Amino acid sequence: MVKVLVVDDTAFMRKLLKNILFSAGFDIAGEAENGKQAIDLYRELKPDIVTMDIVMPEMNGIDALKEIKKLDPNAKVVMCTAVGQEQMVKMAIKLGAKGYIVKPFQAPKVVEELRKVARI
Amino acid sequence: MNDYKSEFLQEAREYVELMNQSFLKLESGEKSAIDEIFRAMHTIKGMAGFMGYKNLEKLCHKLESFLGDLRGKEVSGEIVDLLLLSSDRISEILNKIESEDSDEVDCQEIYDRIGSFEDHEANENHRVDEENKVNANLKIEVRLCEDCAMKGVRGLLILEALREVCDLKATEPEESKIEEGCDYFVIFANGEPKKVDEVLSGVAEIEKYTISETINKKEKAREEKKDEKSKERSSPALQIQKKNESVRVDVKVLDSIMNLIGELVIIKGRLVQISGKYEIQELSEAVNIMEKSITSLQDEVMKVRMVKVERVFNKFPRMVRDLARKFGKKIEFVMEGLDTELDRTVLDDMSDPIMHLLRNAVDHGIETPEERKTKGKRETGLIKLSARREKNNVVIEVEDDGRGIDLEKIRRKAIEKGLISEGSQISEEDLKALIFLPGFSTKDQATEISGRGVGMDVVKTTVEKLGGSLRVISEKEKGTKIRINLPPTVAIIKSLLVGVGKQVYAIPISNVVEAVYVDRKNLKSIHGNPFLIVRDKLIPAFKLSEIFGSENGKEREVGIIVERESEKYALIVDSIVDQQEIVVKPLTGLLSKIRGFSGVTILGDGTVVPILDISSLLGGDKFG
Repeated sequence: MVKVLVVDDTAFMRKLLKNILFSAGFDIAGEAENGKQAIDLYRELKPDIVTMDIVMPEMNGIDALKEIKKLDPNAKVVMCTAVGQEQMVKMAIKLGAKGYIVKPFQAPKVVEELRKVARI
Repeated sequence: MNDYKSEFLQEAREYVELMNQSFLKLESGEKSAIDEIFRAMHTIKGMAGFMGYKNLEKLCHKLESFLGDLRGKEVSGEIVDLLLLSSDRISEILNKIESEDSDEVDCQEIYDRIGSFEDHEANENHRVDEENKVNANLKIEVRLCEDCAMKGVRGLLILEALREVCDLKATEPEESKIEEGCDYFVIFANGEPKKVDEVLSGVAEIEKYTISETINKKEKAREEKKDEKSKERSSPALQIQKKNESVRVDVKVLDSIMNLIGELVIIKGRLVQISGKYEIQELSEAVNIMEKSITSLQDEVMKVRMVKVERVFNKFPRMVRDLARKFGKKIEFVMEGLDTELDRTVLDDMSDPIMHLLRNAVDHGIETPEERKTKGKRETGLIKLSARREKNNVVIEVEDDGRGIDLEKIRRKAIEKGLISEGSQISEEDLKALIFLPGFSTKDQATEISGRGVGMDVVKTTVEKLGGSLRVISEKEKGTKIRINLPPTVAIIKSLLVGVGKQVYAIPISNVVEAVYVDRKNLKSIHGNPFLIVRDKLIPAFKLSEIFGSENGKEREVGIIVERESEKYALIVDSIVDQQEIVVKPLTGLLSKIRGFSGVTILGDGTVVPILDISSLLGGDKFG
């Protein structure tokens, strides 16, 4: 099973993503509510995929992505984004993010993206 | 050579028509359309060369090579404009060839514009870029899903992912364009196809991708030549095959065949009478068999006369597009039921009215993009033209999702014109009916488009002349739908034969509502004008015996209630003779201007029967 680490500062979004991913057969390894937590949990859990929100308190998604990439150059990070954040996502992709999902989340799109990135 | 000229013109025009359709497909993003246009242009060029029309050949040649360069590229609105202009110019040349046997038409403007596009192109795509493409061993084509969110980001993601496994040489369009977002792009790279495939299969929202290994340029050129040769060799055989399947027939020939069948039907009627009169068994048997054959012959020819509405509808997308551009409106034009069949005379007559309705929809119906935005509608307006068979009728609908008919505006205009008085209660249906009056327009200023003489009144008259009817369904801010009901054919119609004095007249069944007996009780004279009372309603009555000046010796008469422009009228006749299908023979020459009659028919016994044309019969006050 593919292990996913869900990173988002709102509990609602995390719950929504967890529900979508769980019903599609992904294993939710853990969840973090900011960039710092995400890095710690990545080190601890070694998830296959991270879904990373961009705007978060403490440490934002872009900085967390940079750190995770330093820890593991092959890390698969999928950015969570909303309309209007194109420039941020583009930066994230140049920094090594492997995909992106757009809010409001559409379950089939999210599942397709993660499956492609996880190569299952 | 002259023998070929008419065939050449006909065929070339068909190709021009085909191109016009393809241009629009091209604009809506169908890349394959360019190949269709290319082929059409190539064929016209070939034919023009054969016929010795050098100027036309040159124009087609220039366009052909221009089109060749366009393959696989984004096609802008300006390019489509140029292509449309070119096809207009080709039509112009064809017309000149037909009338003066000369193809001398100035095409410099087109050459200049092609030139400027090519210069532009050259500046944009640096030579280095071209060389890079040649050096690359892989050509990767990617098409994103239509519903892909943030296409620019997806494009960047693909480029970044590819960079990890291969060496990107060039892209089409350039990378910055891909990052802005485009549906389709091509990447030239050096690398292993297998690795590229691996990368692309791991990216979501790609509809389709192809990876092809390119061959170097010289080989490519050689292959292309080979291709062309084999194409040329195979095409004549293909054409011969097609010619065997169908034969072109002049419409006039069809009409005269129809006429002759009409004559046959009449003669058959006479033979039936004769065999009945003299009781010749053998003759009546032979006549029966002949009757069957004639009926099936009639059916077959009727079928031949039926053409798909496509034939006329196909010119509309171009027209709507041009109008939309002119008025600065964004319009999606949809056509449905293109294979619905209609008698070709009916269809030809309907061409102008439909055109008018579409113009109305573009000009009056659909709002400007800004206006639509503020109303919370989609910026692009929708116009739908559809045709379908409904029972014995063909229904044509023109529908838009624009502002709808403003009944208040109609009311004001009607008061202004003195058609209704202020404060009078008038139903919505009646208000809508006003737009069909000649000279009634709510548009404050007649635009070039809506002021071309074909008004809504002409639309209605044409439809009614063809034995059809028309309805307007409109809701404010939601849109307007005009529904036209047409009989599939006009050459043979069902009619009511009525007797007036010694003469028999035919009334098309499509006009007739009902028939009632007339006596002193229900026929009243009010201010000297006769009215028939039917179910407590007063219906203006016309005594045909008076109108045609024939004797009237009958005590008991019959009132035929007919409908014209949603109003009922009563025609008082002596008797109903029969109800039957008749072959309409139009009035020609001096007789064609006579009012009150749409044609004549000949009955089985040879009697010539005039067919009443209700709208012109009741329209004026002078007869005969």
